Amino acid sequence: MKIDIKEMGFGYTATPVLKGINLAIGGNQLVSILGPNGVGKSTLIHCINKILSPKEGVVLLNDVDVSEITIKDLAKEIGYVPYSTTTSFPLSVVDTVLMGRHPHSKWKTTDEDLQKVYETLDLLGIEHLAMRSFNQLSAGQHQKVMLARGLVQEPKVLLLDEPTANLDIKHQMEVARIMRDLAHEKGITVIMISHDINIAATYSDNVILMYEGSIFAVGTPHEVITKENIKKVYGVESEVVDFRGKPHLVLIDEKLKNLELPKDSYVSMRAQETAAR
Amino acid sequence: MIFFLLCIIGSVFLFVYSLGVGHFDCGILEAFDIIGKSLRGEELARQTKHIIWYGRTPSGLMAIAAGAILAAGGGVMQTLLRNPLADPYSMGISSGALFGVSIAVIMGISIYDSSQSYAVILNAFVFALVPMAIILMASRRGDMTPSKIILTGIAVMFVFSAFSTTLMLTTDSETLATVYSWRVGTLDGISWASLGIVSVVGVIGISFLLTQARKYNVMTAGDNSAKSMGVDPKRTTLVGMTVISLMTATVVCFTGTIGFVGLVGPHIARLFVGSESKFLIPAAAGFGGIFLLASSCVARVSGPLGLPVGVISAMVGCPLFIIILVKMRSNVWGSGV
Amino acid sequence: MEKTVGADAVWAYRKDVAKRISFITICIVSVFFVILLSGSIGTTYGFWDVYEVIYERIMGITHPTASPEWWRSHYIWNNSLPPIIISVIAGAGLAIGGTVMQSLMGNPLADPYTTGISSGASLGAVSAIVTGFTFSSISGEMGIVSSAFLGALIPAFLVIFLTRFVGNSPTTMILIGVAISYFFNSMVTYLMITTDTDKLQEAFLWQIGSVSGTGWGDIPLMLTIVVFSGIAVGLVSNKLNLMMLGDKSAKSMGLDIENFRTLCLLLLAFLVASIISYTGIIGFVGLITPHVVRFIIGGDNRFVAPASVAMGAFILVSANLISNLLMPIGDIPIGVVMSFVGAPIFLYLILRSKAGRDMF
Repeated sequence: MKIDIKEMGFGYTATPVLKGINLAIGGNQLVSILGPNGVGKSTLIHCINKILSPKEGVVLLNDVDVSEITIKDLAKEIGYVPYSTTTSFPLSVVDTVLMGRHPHSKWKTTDEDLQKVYETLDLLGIEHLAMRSFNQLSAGQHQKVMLARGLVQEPKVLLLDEPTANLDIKHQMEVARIMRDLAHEKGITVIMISHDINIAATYSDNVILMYEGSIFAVGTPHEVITKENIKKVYGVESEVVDFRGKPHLVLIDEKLKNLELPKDSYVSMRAQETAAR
Repeated sequence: MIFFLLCIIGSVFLFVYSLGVGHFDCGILEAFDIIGKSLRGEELARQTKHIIWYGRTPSGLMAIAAGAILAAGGGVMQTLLRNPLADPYSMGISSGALFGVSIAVIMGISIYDSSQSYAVILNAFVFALVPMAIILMASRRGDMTPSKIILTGIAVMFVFSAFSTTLMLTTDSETLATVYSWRVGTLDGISWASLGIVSVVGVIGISFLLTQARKYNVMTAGDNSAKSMGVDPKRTTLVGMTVISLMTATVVCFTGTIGFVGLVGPHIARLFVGSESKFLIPAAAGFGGIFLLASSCVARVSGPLGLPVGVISAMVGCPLFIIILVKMRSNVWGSGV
Repeated sequence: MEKTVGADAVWAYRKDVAKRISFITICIVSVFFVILLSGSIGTTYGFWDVYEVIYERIMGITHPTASPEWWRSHYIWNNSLPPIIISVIAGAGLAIGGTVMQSLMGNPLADPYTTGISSGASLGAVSAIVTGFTFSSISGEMGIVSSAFLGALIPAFLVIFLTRFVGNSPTTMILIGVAISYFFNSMVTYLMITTDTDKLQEAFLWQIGSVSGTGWGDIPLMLTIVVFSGIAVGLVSNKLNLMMLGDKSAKSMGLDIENFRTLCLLLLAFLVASIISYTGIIGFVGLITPHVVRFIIGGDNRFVAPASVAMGAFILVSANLISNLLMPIGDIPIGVVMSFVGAPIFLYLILRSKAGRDMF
């Protein structure tokens, strides 16, 4: 699968949110989109799968303009997991994930559909939640259920809006690793928005850095995540170190003056509690 | 502030104009003359004095007072409940009042001395506060989010409406018409005494809301941050709602349920002065007064018998409301409406 | 090993489906039971008499004119049954309307009247009653019905038309619906206060919602539209499911939400209009039924839709039964019974809901 974005621009009003976007993404890889808040990352993703229509320019999927593909056909090619999903209805996890089969199946739920749902739940390690109510899950579990829903759609391109946002570090690593493995083994192009530069650097094959509605830099993590780029885009000082062949960002706060412990300050475990342990 | 002053000046002019408007034509100067003479206690032709001094003057002033109370109450209610569709009746006041009127008119039951003319008024006032009391009781237990308050209000309203409907079904068509016309809201037949009560309640109530304005601002940031800034959101909400309900019930029991000014008034004020409660409350009050006064002028000229002001304010207010909705989409209230 | 886990789970899911289907069956059986029961209430005839009459009519068995059997058949078939059948159809139709509207708007407090349909119908009916002006230039009893029907369509069309300009989000639709119904209600009020007291009473009675005094002639149109809509909703129920996760998700799963919503709203407008133009505005059944159903069998609309049909019919025919039982005390129309039954359930639903969020 390849995605070509040519001279694309978008704005809700006269002020553009995105302008002059030129991008070519192809191959089975995990691509991360980085950038500060409000820079147009989500908007870019929404323009790829027709949730929004670009004001100018085109988005091509395998050389076909996406605006000419019906939304149902597009759903077979591109999956999408929104940043957060809430529902006021009592849906079970299976019901929720089953919806992802919509582009492929008819009205009736076949055994094959169910099989795929359970395999995916198993892959993400949440099979035990299958019959639970979606609304009763934690934020992290929500995230995984929605990820499962995106996966059973069997897309060739998977767009993820901050899939690791609500997860603890173990689950962040797990989800990122699953995404990377999926990309490499099942031949999917996974594009995810991330705020965690180090997770993105560790797991992504390529990185896109956005700034003020445009693409600032693209390339391998090493090429994009540099001291200069971080300074320019985020406006923070940092040091980028190489760790096991991947860049690793260490933040530096120059304004932090006093590194010494203030006098009289203390935090300690109380004696009784320590003894109890 | 400028907006508020403009509203006040506007109301004064409109009020003066409104004295002359109506089926019985009379010039503005003549109207003034009559008022002046009445104040000095001079003798006047009965008819003119009756129309101007006992009819138009108090009803015009009542339009201003009622409009100010309803709009200011609506503005605060929208802030407290964080819902653009809230209005002073969101607590089910109108349905409670209607029930009170129904049992007074249809069954002849009232709180105090049903033979008196104020029995209906008293009934309306007391029953208007019953839904509020139920909501207050319900909110003692468990968490009462703004939406739950609104929905409880709706549910209580449905129950009361069902009772009123049952009563209205059992009665003859004449009595039904009396009850129904009460429901619509009118400014006819307002006495100086009732105007006095409403004005006093209005001044006290609105002043109280103004003293709370800072708290309301803090609450717009959400319950948790309000708490962190030392404002108890639940308490503030309930106190605010109680005050608004008392004010509204006072208006309702004299005029019936005049709709829309409490809903649209604050929205229009918000377009001019923003959402800061300190400015919103006076601006909404000013605009509400002028809006209702204008409606009552239109109502008076709309036919030989005139129409109830409630109908006019809804007919004018609704298109305005749609325009506002379109304009403020995602601006003032965000997407989380 | 992993395969068998999957197979087990598939079996568990299927078992759950079987439960849902049996729930629907129970509802349907209950509806028939209540139909027979209602037919015998307030008459000298018994439960099985009603059954026999229906059986005879269907099988084409006739009795000699004016024989006791003939009278029995005539009375039950022409007097008792039409209101009962209409409450069944109306209940089914309003409940499925509620199911669709709630899913479309992603709002569990939406009901079939959310786009202002009831206010339009009121305006149509009241203008026919009060001024004799009808939107359809038909006069008399049918004038009220046809005028209410056409009036009911106006707000729906306005909402659809306006949202084409200001964006098709559920919130906007609900707000515009509210605004339009305020406007129409003020016109209704205007008409009602300017008329004489007898017409006021007639108009007032119309608004409450009642099935008494209906005949077989009222049934065909309503039945046709309800059956058609029921089938249509059943067919798109898998798409309705997608709407419950929000617009973005639905779109990414291949649903053209703008057109889908417009089509569904049109269907709903006709469905609801066809019912309330005969019965007046019966509240709550469309709001509460889907909740009761979802509470029991979960949120999958492929099952909620048929279950709502059965449950809605059951609830409204029971309300009709209660209304008949109250006959000795006074004539309490079905609409009022529904309010008394529905409002407390509604209150319970609110207080039970965990966050009570996104209700408007």
